[in-house]
Amino acid sequence: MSASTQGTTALPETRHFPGHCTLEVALKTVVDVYHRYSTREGKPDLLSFNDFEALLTEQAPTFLQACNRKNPNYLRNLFKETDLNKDREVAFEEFTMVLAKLSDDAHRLIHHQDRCTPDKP
Amino acid sequence: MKTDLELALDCIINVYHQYAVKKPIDDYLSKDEFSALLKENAQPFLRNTVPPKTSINDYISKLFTRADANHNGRLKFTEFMTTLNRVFIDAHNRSHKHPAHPEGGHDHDHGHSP
Repeated sequence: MSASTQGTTALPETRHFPGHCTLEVALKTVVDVYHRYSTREGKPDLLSFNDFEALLTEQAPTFLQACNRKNPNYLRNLFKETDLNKDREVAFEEFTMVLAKLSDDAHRLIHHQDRCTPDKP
Repeated sequence: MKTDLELALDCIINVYHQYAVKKPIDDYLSKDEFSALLKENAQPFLRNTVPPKTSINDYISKLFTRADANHNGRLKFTEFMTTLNRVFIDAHNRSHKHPAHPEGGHDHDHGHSP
């Protein structure tokens, strides 16, 4: 199942995910996951810190395992950074910043690139 | 065992790679690859967010230029993500518009399921 790793820039094999992997299905899944947590506490379409922390801990364990992201302050700081309008809630539009980080991390992992350095131009 | 979110993001990366590997074979999206990706996979996003009196092709050009932060004529993955954020936001907006079935309104969806 694992791709051969000849070099750091080798393209991955096309994987086949369970079910039908299309962009539309993936988008619906992301939105659905967001709502699963946003509805738990406070306003149903916004993530409180507890919602945010639970979402990432339960749904993004691979991301959190690297780069000292398990440091107790990491999620607090990430929440503050994501909460652009400082209303102590993260709206979906703000949450896309976190989705970008998660996707970048997953993409680097596939290419066996360093996950912890800042993005290169 | 991957989570739902991890699988969904892996799927999105997979879609990116399907288009990035077209000629030239590399891990970047040319303008043509970017355009094909959106036209073939993100029709709802394009229809919902295209500005008035703008063609889809012009809109895609604008999106590409906006995403190409280092102006090198191609998009690496993190540049592409800036467009994808808009696609996510449109998907979220749509989730609040269509509870059971579409009501009469601006959406003229005749059940196109790609």
